[in-house]
Amino acid sequence: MADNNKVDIDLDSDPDDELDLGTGNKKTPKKSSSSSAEYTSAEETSMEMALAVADIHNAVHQFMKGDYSVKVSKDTLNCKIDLLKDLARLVNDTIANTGGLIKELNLGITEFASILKKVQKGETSSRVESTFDNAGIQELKKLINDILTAFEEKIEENNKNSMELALGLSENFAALNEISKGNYKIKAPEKSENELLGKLGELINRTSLEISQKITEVENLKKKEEEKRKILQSSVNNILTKVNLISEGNLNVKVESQNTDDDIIVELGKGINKMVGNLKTLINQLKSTVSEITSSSSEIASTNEEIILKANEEIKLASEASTTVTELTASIIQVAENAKKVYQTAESNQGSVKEGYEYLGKTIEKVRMTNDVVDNTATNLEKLKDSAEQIHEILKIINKISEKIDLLALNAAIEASSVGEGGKRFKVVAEEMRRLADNSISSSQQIGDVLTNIQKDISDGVNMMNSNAQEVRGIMDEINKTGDLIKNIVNVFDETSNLMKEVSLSTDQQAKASAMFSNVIKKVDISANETVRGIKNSKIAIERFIEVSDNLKELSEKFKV
Amino acid sequence: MATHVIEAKGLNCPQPVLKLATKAIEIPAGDLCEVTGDCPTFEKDIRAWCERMGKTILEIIDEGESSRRVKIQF
Repeated sequence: MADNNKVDIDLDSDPDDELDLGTGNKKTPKKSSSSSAEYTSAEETSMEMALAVADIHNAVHQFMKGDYSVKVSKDTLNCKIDLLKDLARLVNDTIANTGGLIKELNLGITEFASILKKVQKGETSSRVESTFDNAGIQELKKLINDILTAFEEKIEENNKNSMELALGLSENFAALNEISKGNYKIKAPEKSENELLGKLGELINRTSLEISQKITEVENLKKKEEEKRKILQSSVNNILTKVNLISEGNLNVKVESQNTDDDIIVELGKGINKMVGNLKTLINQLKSTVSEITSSSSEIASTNEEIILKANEEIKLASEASTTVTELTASIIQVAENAKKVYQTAESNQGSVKEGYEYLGKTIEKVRMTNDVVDNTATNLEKLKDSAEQIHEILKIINKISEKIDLLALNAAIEASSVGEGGKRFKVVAEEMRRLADNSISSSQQIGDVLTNIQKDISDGVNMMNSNAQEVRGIMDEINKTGDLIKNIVNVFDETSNLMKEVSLSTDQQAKASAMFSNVIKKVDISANETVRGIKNSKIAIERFIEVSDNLKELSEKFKV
Repeated sequence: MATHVIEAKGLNCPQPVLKLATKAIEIPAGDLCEVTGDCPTFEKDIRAWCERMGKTILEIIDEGESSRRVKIQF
């Protein structure tokens, strides 16, 4: 259709609504029956055209909705407008062709889906049954049915193989189960379409045979062992009977040679016979020994009694000695302590006396030094006295010289007064010299007086010094005598102290020795007690020994040698 | 005489047969076994197994929805 003839069709609109072909707008249709007479020819054409278009529109609309049997009405097919008539025919043909195709397609798809669902569930026997006019769909149907057939055949083949395998496995499994129960006669199938199953059957049968053979071997061995065991049991029973007789004391039995090749049993029989022989000798020896033991035990028992009595006496003596020694030790300790105190006191006094003696020595030394000083002073005073006398002599000489100078000066003055002016000056000098000489005489006289006094004092001092020195010497003699006395005392103290020290040491040693002695006595006591206990135990042991030897005797007598 | 029940629903060939074979060694002669399955070849497979193993099928019950219950005499 040309573009200028194109008609816009609203497929969803109601075909009863009239369409304005010029504008495409809907308009209210006019009632043809009541008003056709009023239409002009042009209007009638337009009306027919509109009705035809509406009819075609309606048919297309219904087709699109799924009504594949709809057709354009005969009025439209006989329409006066050729174009519309052709269009109506075309629409009818198109609906008829397309509708059929769509119907076949729908039918085919539904059937295919149904069959595929069955296949999905495992059913492969269904096939597409419908016949289709459309060659394409018919071809598709054939293809699907062929695939289904091939698929079904494949599944059947797989199932058959799987089942063959499963059944073969079941048979082998059952056979293995029987073998595991000890049924070795069962045979697994060795012929199968499946090579693996055939080999498996062969393997199972071979394994079963091997096991069966091994079991037969083991059973044979067991039988042999059982026979050996029975023979052994018989031999052992025989030996056991003999051993029972031996255990009851009958040593007059002998194990006979056994009907067995078991070395141990043979050796056992020999060993028992040897043992019985040895036992016989032993029992005989035992009997005589027991007899000796019994008599010896009685002797030992009585000796023990004596030992206990003596030991008890020793304990008593030891106990007394221990008490005495303990007392002696206590008094020795006391003496040692006293001696120690005396020694300590003596030592302490000896210190003081020695100190005093030393002090006295120092005093004597000082007195001696003082005496020396006094002696020296006296000597010096004597020397001073001699010097004073020498000075006195010198003063006498000075006095004589001064008298001579005075006389000489008097003469000079006399001579000078006779010599004029020059002599006057000399006379002055001479007078001065005379005066000096007078002064010298006077002074020397004064010195002489003083010196005389000094000499007297010195003489007094010397006398006093001598007297003092005498006294000091006397004191020194006394002090020396005292010193000697103190020295003697110190010596006596030394001797006493040493003596006390020795006494102290000696008593200490005595105390220690005494303590040791006490300990020794205590140990002797303990030892004696232990000895008594030991002897008592020994007594019990001997009593038990006698009892045992009696039992032994009794037992040894049970043996029939 | 005890009845042993084997449930093989949902199992496909040859699983039901293998399950039956596994269980069979524990079932003493004379006992009954009921095996149920819904595999399309279930009945055929069980028949084949019984024939091969020398067991007798006593009854086959159709339980609907492709399900079958087979009674076997051991």
